[in-house]
Amino acid sequence: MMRIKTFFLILFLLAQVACLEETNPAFDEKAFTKIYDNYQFSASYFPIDVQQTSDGGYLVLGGRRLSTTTFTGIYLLKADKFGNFISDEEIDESFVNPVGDLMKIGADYYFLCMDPLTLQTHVARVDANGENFTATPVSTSLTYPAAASQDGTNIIALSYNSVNLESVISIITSTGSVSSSKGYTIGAGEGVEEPIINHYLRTGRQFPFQTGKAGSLYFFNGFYNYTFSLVFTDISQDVPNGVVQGQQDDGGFSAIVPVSGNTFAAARFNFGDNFLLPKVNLNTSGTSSSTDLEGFTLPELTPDATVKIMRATIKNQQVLVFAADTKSKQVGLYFYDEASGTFLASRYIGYSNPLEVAAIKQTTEGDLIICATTFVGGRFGRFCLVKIPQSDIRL
Amino acid sequence: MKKLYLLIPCLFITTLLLHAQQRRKAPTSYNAGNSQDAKFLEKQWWLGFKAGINLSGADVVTAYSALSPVNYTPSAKAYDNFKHPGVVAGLEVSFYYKGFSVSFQPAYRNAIFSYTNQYLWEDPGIPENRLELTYAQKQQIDYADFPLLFRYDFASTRLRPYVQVGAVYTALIDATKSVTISGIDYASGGQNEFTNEPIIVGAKQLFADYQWALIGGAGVNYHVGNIRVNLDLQYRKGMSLANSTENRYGNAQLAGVGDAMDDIKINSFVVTLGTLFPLRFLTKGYSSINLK
Repeated sequence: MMRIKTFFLILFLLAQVACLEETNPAFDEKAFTKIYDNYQFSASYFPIDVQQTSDGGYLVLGGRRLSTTTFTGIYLLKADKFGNFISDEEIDESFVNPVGDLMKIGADYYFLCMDPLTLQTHVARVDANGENFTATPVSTSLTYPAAASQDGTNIIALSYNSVNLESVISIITSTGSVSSSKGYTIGAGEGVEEPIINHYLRTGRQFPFQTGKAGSLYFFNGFYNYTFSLVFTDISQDVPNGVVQGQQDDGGFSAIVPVSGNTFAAARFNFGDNFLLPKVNLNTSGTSSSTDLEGFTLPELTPDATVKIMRATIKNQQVLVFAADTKSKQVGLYFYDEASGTFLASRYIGYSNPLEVAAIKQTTEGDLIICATTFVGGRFGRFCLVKIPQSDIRL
Repeated sequence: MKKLYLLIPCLFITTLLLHAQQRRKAPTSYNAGNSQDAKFLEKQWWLGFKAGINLSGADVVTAYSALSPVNYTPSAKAYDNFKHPGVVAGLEVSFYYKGFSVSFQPAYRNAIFSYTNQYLWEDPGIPENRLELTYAQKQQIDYADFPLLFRYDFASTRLRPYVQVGAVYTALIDATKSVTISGIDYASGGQNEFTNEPIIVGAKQLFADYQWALIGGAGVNYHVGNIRVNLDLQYRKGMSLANSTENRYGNAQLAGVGDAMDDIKINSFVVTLGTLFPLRFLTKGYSSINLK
């Protein structure tokens, strides 16, 4: 009997010792919050997109305030797999207006930028460390790049032609060759382009310009025929295949992700209100209006909130993750079942310093990495990476 | 601390009352009358209450920060060790045998330590573009301690100093953390000194559920009648991490202001005053100890 008691006592003590904390780099890699601070009072940065690199680290594309021009400069930051700062690159002012997505094509990372004098779109390339920047002008005249996304080894680009007052969607190779391009009128009159120019100068609202591909059609989220619209096109016909109209610049889609066929996950804004649509069927071959769509309204979101949507597999479940800015200056994460569109869970990150979402990605390990702007000391715009382990997400 | 102030007088009053009662009931005979009594008093069990204060400090094993500077060297957190008194109160059960004692002292302990982070933003060419911020972080952690100590008494007199060594196993009960941001803003037209309201959050998930420490210490027992009053001093050297390594960034409020707990071991000084009662009596004379 005594031996049994002793055995259980030792077992209990061993169990307690096993509960003791030890420095564990695996935990440091699994979850972190990192704010990349710069001591300069006048410096201001905002991230645009993030990519996990093959070494497990992170490459962040962002913009920076320039003193010589109202356009934004290009800033790249490399962090290691623990989120610790490795290096940064402030690209000189010969190139401005960085435009995401940050796309991995081959071993390098690409995004679009602009020559501040000619306004010509350039394909920018950096290596996995954010170094060895090169910028190649695209082969035809494409001014004011607005959005980019990856289609295999090509880039689907949206740009604005201020001469013809057109939103232009193009397919560009990584070397800058434009294989196809089509412009669609934003409408006549000077007042129509004012919000667009204010977007580029960052003196007005930042519109959620976006490009992508849904089935055989390309789409862009941008201005068309006086409204901020979702336009489907095969980039060959002069008239779009389908248009989901907004309400001039007061309504439209905040973000859109194709799921399957005509089914999309989307978020829309309408005169300040926000609606999340985790499962919505869109007419890609006719004209419809986004204001007719229902959606979950979330009063906690900022007016016309920035929303990012990601498809992810979390705990073997296909989910849609919506990341959006809240009025409490947090980033709200809303998880929905992809198949049914039903709500699963929510989570809020940030609290004391304001946080504004820029991008959300899933790492190769299945964890979430959220790239956001934070304002250190409530003042200074800085990059912030928040990594949330998959195991911490309760669906 | 208020609890402590109440508890110490209570212990004294209890001691005095028991002493008075003891004197009324039977005149104390501190000298063992015969060898049988002396043999009986070679052993004794003591049970009692004790309370006091503790001062805690942190040993940094690995430093962490949520702020990852791109163009300056981050300053380490400045810990204010052993500055903030916390309460400790609990029981003591001791077995005494021929000058040696084994003592088990389960107790509640409230450990407090703090640190500050300082940051500066400036533009070299524009002196008024300058902001200094200080983040003062105060941790209050409630623990259940389970110390086991081995003591040696130096004397067999009424006043018995002793030395002790041992170990303590500690379980986390709760924790809170407050952050007070203060600073000087030179950009607002003058030297604008400000202090924000503190952010106070529950922070249990930031601390280790269990930890252990080695103990070294000394003290003195003073025998009053058949009871003893104990003054005890311990230094506890943390041997395992006091923070949670898994939940370092688990508190959104704190991570949002750039705070991340370092890997730390908590050391502490614990001073207690207690009253102990004997559990073994001679039927005649009620003597609890053998005074030589």
